[in-house]
Amino acid sequence: MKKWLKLNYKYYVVAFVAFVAVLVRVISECNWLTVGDIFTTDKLPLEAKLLMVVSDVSGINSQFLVEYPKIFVVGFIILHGVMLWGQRNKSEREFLETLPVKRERIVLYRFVMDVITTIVVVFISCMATYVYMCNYFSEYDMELPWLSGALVGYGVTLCCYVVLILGVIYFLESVMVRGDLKIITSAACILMFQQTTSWLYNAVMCGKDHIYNKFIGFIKMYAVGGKEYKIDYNSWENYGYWIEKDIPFDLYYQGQKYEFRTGINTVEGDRTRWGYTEGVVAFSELELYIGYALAYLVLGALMILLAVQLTKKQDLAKRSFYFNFAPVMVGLLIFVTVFMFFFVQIPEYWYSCLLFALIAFMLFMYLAGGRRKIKM
Amino acid sequence: MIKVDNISKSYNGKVAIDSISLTVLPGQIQGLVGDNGAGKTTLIKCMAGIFKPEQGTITYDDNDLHNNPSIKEKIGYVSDNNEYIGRYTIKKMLKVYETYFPSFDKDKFERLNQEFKLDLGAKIDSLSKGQKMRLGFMLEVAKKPEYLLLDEPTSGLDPVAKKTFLERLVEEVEKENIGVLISSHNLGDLEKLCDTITILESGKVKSESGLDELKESLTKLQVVFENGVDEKLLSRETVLSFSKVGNVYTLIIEDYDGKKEKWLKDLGAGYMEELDMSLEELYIALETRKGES
Repeated sequence: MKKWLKLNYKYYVVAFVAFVAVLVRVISECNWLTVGDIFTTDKLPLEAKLLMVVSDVSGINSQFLVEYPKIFVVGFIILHGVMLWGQRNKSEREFLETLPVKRERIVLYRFVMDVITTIVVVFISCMATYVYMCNYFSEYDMELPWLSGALVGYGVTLCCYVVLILGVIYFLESVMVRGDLKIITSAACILMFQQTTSWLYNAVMCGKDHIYNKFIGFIKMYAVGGKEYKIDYNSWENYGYWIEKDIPFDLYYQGQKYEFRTGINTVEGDRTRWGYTEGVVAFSELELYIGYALAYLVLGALMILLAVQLTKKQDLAKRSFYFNFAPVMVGLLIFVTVFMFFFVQIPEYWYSCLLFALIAFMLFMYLAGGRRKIKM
Repeated sequence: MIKVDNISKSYNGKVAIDSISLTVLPGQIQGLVGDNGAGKTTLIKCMAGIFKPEQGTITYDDNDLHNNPSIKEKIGYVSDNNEYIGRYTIKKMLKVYETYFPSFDKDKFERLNQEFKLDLGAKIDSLSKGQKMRLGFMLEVAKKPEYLLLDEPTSGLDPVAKKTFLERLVEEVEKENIGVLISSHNLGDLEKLCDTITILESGKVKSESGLDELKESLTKLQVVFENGVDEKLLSRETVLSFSKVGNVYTLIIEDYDGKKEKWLKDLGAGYMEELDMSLEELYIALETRKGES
């Protein structure tokens, strides 16, 4: 690995600097904390205000679990694109094959470096977020003792999620010959992944029974088994997806301890208890997120192991795909991607979405190899 | 010793090489000739560890080649299309070699470059075909391989560079006892260099023998037919090819013996003289016979 790293470390230094720069910028510009505005509102009792602060903090939920993964995934696709661009030429691929290093080892080295880069950057961004938030809350004489645990939970789950995505990328790369096509296919698949997340969350997660939620739950990381609830606050209705478990948490304000529970939505007389998104508080409870983090990790490990095994069996004499199953597999990925792209926008016309997807699949299969069978 | 044992390789449904066996010994130069599409490049790529044959084995000093990094350190391979990593400069490519090959001798590279004169700051993409070939040779020789596989190494080289290349190659073989397999359409070059010649035809080994042995099976004669001769009588089973200037015929005959000498005299041959035959003439004669059969 030392030899390989000596020649390729610059890619990772650049990736590391880019990731850190983007994340620090995102953290420093985030304006989802509105504690000041909350405290200037007279209408609410203090407890309600404090609960709103916690709700506000769950804004980091969306940063870590929606924005940060996108940054990492796009970043790694670009990094891989730069490394693999030259491998669109047969000559470069064949030259690399003459080097005294096993092909599958290079795949592992790249994977390990991607993961190390991720872990280091996530650690830095968690620290930066924690410091930023502590400073912010200290201005209002507030302290959230579970915050550090929550950021650790987010960080661990984010790293595991990125491992899964990297595993998928490497698996797809291992079946295709040309470097440029590897990247296009990986990017398309990850796009599909991102598109399906929101749809699955809304269509699958809410209102389903508990066991099913648990099974699908890993797709939406922080959906640690919940149900859809309707809450009313001063005649303002809101629908949301809330955690089922009622988690106790503390908050210190002006030196005084306040005890709360995440709760689920209930109505007591003319008051409504807030049901909060599981977000930041749930992530301070290891047992609530670790199963999902481990599931990502196991799936990611499985994908990279598959990628390594397939890499060993690659035949460099092939021109487009290394394996006979690959065109169909990639074609199906394209089918699902095109289908989901249209379906999330026009779900009522699912049959049209199927048709578009089918056309895309057939076009791909024709371009991938069907041409030979048609006499020109 | 490189031992290729009964290897076959096909792609896109076409058999490129079929049950090929050959050996390359240390300190020897083995030539590889054949028509376009005979399977020379495929064979060499299998021996370089780029392609994995579907059957058979390739061993280097009894160690299996496939996916074996320690063997790859011992092999030098100069392709007919040395693109390397196009966006790299020569200097950076040098660094790659220094990193991956512990035995890489930078001084040797620089000595060779004094003759081949490449600009180390130039990007590989910007080099001409001949320059890339020179670069390939310098890099592969400087890594001190035990075996060198050369695929059309003189194509694209100007005469001076080609002369230098051939001289350095022979020098390396003599000094370092390297085993070399070289494929080329330039049979004149191979004739000067090679100890043995392997002829490939349609993916199979047609013959593998020493140069002298190969030439022994054919004889080149200069024959004068003072009264001319009916060329149809020059039976193809006996005369592989002929050319003429006036009544002076140059014949290439397979398995020339007393019987055939008498046959020629019966046809009216007067003066007959055996001439030296080049590898190119021999190969063309063999190919001509193949074409007619």
